[in-house]
Amino acid sequence: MSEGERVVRGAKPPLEVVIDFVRSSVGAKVIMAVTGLALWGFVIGHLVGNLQIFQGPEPLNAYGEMLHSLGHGAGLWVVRAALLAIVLSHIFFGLRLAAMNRAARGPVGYRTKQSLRTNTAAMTMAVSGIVILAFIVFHLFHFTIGGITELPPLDEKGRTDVFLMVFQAFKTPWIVVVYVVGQTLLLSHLTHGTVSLWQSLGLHHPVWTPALRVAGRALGVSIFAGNIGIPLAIFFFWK
Amino acid sequence: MADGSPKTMTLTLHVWRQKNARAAGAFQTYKATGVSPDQSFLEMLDLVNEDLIGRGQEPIAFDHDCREGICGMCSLMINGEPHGPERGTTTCQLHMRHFHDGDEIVIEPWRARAFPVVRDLVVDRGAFDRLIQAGGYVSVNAGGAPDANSVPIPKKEADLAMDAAACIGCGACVAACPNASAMLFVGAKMSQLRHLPQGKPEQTKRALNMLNRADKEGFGACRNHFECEAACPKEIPRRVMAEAFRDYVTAAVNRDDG
Ligand code: HEM
Ligand code: FES
Repeated sequence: MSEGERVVRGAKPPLEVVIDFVRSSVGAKVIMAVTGLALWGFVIGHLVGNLQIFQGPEPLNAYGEMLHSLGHGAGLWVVRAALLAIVLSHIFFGLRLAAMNRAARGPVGYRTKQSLRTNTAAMTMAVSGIVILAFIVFHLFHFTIGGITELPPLDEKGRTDVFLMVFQAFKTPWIVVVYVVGQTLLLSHLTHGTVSLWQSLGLHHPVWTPALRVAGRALGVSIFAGNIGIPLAIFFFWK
Repeated sequence: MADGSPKTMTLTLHVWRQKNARAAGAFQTYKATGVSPDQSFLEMLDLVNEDLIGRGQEPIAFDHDCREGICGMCSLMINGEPHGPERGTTTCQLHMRHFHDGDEIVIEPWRARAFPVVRDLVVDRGAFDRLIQAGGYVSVNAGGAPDANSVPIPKKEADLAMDAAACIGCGACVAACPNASAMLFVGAKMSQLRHLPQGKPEQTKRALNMLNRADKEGFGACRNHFECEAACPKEIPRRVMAEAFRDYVTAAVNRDDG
């Protein structure tokens, strides 16, 4: 489209709109924010479900069985497919933006460059993201696919014994370490993500923006505490 | 010198020297002697240049014009900070009293693919002009000057527009950004128009054209570090960037043509 052309509302074919949007840097940024927000939602739901471990084997194993039987077994796969698409888009656009930005500085960098307002969490989003990805892969092999620790037999009602599986796993020191490290990086990622995402979506307000920052940081720390609480409680306190 | 006059300083400068756009550059070290705390940073460089010229050497090329903090021509990355250590201050308005005798100062040009070095500390900021050409205007027949206050504008909207209009287009935002993004500049130029009735009709079209142009010019993508906001000599707020993102998404949803 040449500059200075007439604006015609709704004139552009929808597919072209989507392609142009996805190719633009602002489009990529908005996709990062939307997928990041969806992943926030997942992380919260995932933690709330898992906290049932503190209620004992029965609720947790029943919860696992319920997830597996959603929509006669199809529901879980729908959710898994959606999550995979979200995570892949998040990674794809994150890496694309990182490549664009590396090129944008030009052939010569600064000899000295001070950071005035940004922070380490923001400067290391790609690194924390990649470590989180490695952690997610590990976590899936650990509890979903199998192959890292031996999975226990079915419980007395014939269900996957989620409780025993988690209990046994977190008696192993190096596994606890992997989980704590993974969650620390997630905390770092969310520290910037929670500030960044509203701005990317074009939301800025003198009152609500600072409030959302505080709320997002508090939520991030709560997620961290909850997620490391499970392995640490099992390792140190459970018999 | 008479009694009571301020003591002068001696400084060590590490300055980027580069013959032309194609030549490889390197840092050269210079001693600046007899620097008065009352001098501006550019006057200090003038002093160094007089000395260089006196010794038959090429003076250091740097951009400047008004030296009053209003034109946006001066630049310089000073010890890793665009326009130096004083917040809300251009290099031409930065005084040497903020430095100390014996200081080492590293002076570099803005670094961005979209701002190629022309010579020494001078970069080509033509990409900003092309961003303005892409959409930083209103298409109205100017005609005669309208009566004052004939178009009522709420105070709040006028303030939002005027805050954005403080941008002098110096490029410190791009220089400061870890990703060399021009978002704060583009946001300011969009915001000064979008809050006024004359700018409303082209609001979303402007977003498409200016932001797509920024991608083409090779500026990076904003990742919300807000280094630009800290570096801006006119203290343009991050709000203008959120507005720009919002207008861009609105344009896509409305399927506006650029
Ligand atoms: C799977 C591995 C992941 C990778 C490789 C990854 C990578 C990235 C990258 C490169 C960014 C851009 C950083 C920036 O703005 O400078 C980002 C932003 C973000 N990520 Fe992730 N991430 C991952 C997982 C997650 C998870 C699990 C969550 C949430 C629980 C998440 C939430 C966010 C949020 C909210 C943002 C901010 C979006 C914005 O800039 O507007 N990410 N991620
Ligand atoms: S020379 Fe005009 S703003 Fe500095």
